[in-house]
Amino acid sequence: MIAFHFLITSIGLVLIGLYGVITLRHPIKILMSIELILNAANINLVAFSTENLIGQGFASLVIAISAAEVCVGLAIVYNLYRLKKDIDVMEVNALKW
Amino acid sequence: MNQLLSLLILIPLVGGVITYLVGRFNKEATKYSALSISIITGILFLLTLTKFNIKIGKYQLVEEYSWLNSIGSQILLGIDGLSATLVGLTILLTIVAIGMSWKKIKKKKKSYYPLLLLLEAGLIGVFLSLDFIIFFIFWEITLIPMFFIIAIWGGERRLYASIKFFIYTHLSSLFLLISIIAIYLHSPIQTFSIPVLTEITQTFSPQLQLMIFIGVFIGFAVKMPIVPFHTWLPDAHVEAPTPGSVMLAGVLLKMGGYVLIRVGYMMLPSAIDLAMPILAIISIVTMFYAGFVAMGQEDLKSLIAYSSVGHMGIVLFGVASMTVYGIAGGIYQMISHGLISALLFSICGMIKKDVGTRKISKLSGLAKETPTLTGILVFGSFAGLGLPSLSGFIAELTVFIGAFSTWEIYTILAIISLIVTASYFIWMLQRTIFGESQLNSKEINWKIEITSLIPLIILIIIFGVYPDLLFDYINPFVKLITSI
Amino acid sequence: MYFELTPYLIMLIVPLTVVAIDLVINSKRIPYLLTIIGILISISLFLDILLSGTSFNKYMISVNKFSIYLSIIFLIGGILTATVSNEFLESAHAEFYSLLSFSLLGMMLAVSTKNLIMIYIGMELASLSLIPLVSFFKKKEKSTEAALKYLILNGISSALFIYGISLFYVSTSTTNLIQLSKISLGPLSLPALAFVVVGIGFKISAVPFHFWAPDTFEGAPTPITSFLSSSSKKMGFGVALLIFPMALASYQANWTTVFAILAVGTMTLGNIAAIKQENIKRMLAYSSISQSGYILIGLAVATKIGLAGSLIQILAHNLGSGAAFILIGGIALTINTELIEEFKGLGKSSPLIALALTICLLSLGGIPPFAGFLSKFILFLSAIEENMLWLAVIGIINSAISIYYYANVIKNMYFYDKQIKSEISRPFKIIAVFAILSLIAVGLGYDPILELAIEAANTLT
Repeated sequence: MIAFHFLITSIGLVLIGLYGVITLRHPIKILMSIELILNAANINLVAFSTENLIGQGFASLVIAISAAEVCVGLAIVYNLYRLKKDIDVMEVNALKW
Repeated sequence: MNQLLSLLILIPLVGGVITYLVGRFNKEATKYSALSISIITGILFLLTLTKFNIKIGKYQLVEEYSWLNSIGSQILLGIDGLSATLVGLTILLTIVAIGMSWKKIKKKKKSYYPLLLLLEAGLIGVFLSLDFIIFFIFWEITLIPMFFIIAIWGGERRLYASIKFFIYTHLSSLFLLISIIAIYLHSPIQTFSIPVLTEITQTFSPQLQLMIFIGVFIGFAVKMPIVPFHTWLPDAHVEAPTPGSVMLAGVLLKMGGYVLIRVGYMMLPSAIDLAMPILAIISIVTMFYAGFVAMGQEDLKSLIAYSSVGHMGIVLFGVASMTVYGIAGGIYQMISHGLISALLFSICGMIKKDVGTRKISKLSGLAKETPTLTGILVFGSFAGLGLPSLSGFIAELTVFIGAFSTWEIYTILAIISLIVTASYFIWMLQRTIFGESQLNSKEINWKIEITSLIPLIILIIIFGVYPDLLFDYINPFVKLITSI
Repeated sequence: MYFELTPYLIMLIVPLTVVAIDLVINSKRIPYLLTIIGILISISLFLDILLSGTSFNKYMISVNKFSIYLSIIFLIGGILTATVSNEFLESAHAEFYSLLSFSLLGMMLAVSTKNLIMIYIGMELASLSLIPLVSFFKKKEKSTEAALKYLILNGISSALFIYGISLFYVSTSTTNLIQLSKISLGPLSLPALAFVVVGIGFKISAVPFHFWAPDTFEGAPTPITSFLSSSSKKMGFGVALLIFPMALASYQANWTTVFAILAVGTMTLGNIAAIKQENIKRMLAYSSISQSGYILIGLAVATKIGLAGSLIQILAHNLGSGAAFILIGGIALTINTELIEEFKGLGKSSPLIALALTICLLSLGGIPPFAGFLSKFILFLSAIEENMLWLAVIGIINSAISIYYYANVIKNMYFYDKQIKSEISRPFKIIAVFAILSLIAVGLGYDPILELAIEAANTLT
């Protein structure tokens, strides 16, 4: 069954995304890993919207919202870069992590 | 006038606010305001007593207002023999405490007297509430003013003592709360009303009652206090200002005894029945332990504090014997101990002020320096060790008569513990009164303070020679609850 | 007809108007007044709907007692923040207030629905508006760093949450909560539950997903910290209350255990970490974590009375911690420090603020007659009712521990004879009076509030 392959793909993407979120220390790389998880969800939503179109509609909303999130994220990362000239999460330690 | 009981709570509460407002204009006037409000409360209480039928043991003058209907709680107030005597004690000791604060409290009078009145309102509320939620709210409210009184006007280690007092007693009351919830959940009717639940809990199985009693026990054992839950008390007493000690020993400890009778004995008789031998042993250990530790105390105030622990042990001993005499004696002991410990703590505070120390070893020759204060100290100590013709004797005698029919050996042990009590009081007197004086009395004018102690002295004597005055209130109540 | 939607509409119009007016007139007062008036109208409209007893259930929106109860709580958090914000801001007032209103709209939408899509959109609207607010002082490194942490953790949380939802969709082809409850989830149920729990766990900063919260709370501007604690976190709870008892009723045994474990961990760790904090904002952040643990007790019990207890605890914590953060902000503005030690002598120099802060802390500690007591009482009652005595006992021990660090603040304010200069401006005094009155009113058990919470809990199951 083809649907099963989609599920495996999405689970693989989630795992890669989670691995990235946990191990990476660069905020932009973490944001990219988050995108991977979101897109894994999108694959599920689109691939399984056979009975109705809710899944596809939802997927397009998720894409829009994640774009907004990345916008905000990049703005903050940029601001932090202006303040510190450095954006490694490990180096960001005015507050304890 | 059917709102007498709610007025008894509201007058000190509103009076506290008025006193605070008075204090914004004139700080000296606060004490007059507080005194007049506590006297008005006293007059109102006497008025309540005229309406109170002493022949009946049941709750009287019951007031009922709708409140948290969704969980079956309402504002329910009522008075019976037990609460009447304790409310009377609260009101009397508040007046004494204000008298003792007259000269002693110098800073922040504006907040001190309102807190004292709030404490009075909370205590009266505890004794008058017949609904568990409102009861528990008042029970916890009393902690807040006491915490502030110890922490702001107390001695050197006041911060440590006040926080210890707060956390200890708060934690123990939460265990009481668990038991209250357990009673509520096992009752077929959704209600928090104490009279209704009292009838329902009789039908609980003994095992269930025992489970519930464990929480209640932790609740009152810390308040009373019973060894080994007493460690907060010496700290709190030693650091508290004199009026704070008066209220703490005189009334706050009685809340423990009140719960022991109101919830422990009246609601969970089978549990007490099962736990009887353990309670007896605990109370005897409390008496002996308190006596021996008191003997080793250097500080006069902590000696009196430990004597309080021992005296409250007698209350537990009396109630645990489950006899009419035992319980009546226990209640009598609560009142008598309230008067005596208030007297002793007051006199201790005055001695400290007068000669500058509370160390027993340094107090020798006190009689030459301050004969009046020494006289009262001797009187108080004799009342504390149970001299016949003073109130403590009647209380202890009644308790032991009652307890003897239940346990012979334990009662003999308890009587032996009285010898320990007598010996540490007399040894203390011997070390302080006689001998060469190295003290420097400041010869402060104690007129107001001594005047406020006179009612205590008179009552200790009256209750010692004419016990029926008090037993008239206690007996119908005790007969009613023991006949269930 | 569509009257029930007007409060939402107002919260949409207000921020747009604020931004539009700012193009013409650059004023400090107009955005401030417009936002406060908008929130007040919105609250009164909600109360009106509540009194008329109607409800709305069309498209993706569902306005019922539960959503109104929580929406009013969010709006109270919003108004607490809005009242004092002008004292902190130097520029960009219109942006601040419009983002605040958008965030409120998002929160309200997230709990006023029976559809997972709407929940997701509402949550994202709320947090995406909040992230710029957290980093609002863009010259301050702390503030920006706090925003970065909030952004990343919020991103992870929503991504996991949406993945959990996608797994629901895979097995049931629906995102409607009511339909979800009727269809079995099949083999994917446990992974789906795990993703949703973890996603929400980050939002409500339950231990072990809490580590972002103290940093973000400390770094954010204080009014926004208050908003994060009083409203944003409560949105996470609102969503959890919406999803679990209704849609996942058949898996109750699984998630109640998870929530019980989370509750114990959250209460205990939050408390222990709070004891040693020297910065009061950070201490309150940890206390806020431990207070969330109490809300989780209600979810672990998952009976009607337990859920009602959670709802009342949400209200009590909203009032108590929201006001406490704001009062601390006011004090910090005048004495220029957030260290607990520096609060000495406050009781003398500004008695009203000190009294209000004391009452807030006592309420958080669960001392009667304040709001925190009523909520904890009902939560413990529900736990014992469901034979979870151990949970109630752990809660009780924690609540006694928490008294220690709350009393420490009170001690510093009152028990030292030290003079400090602090002149606190009027908005903070308004908040102080409001906090005192509301905490006593809720705590003395104004019955309609309790009843509303119970009815709101009824709509959940």
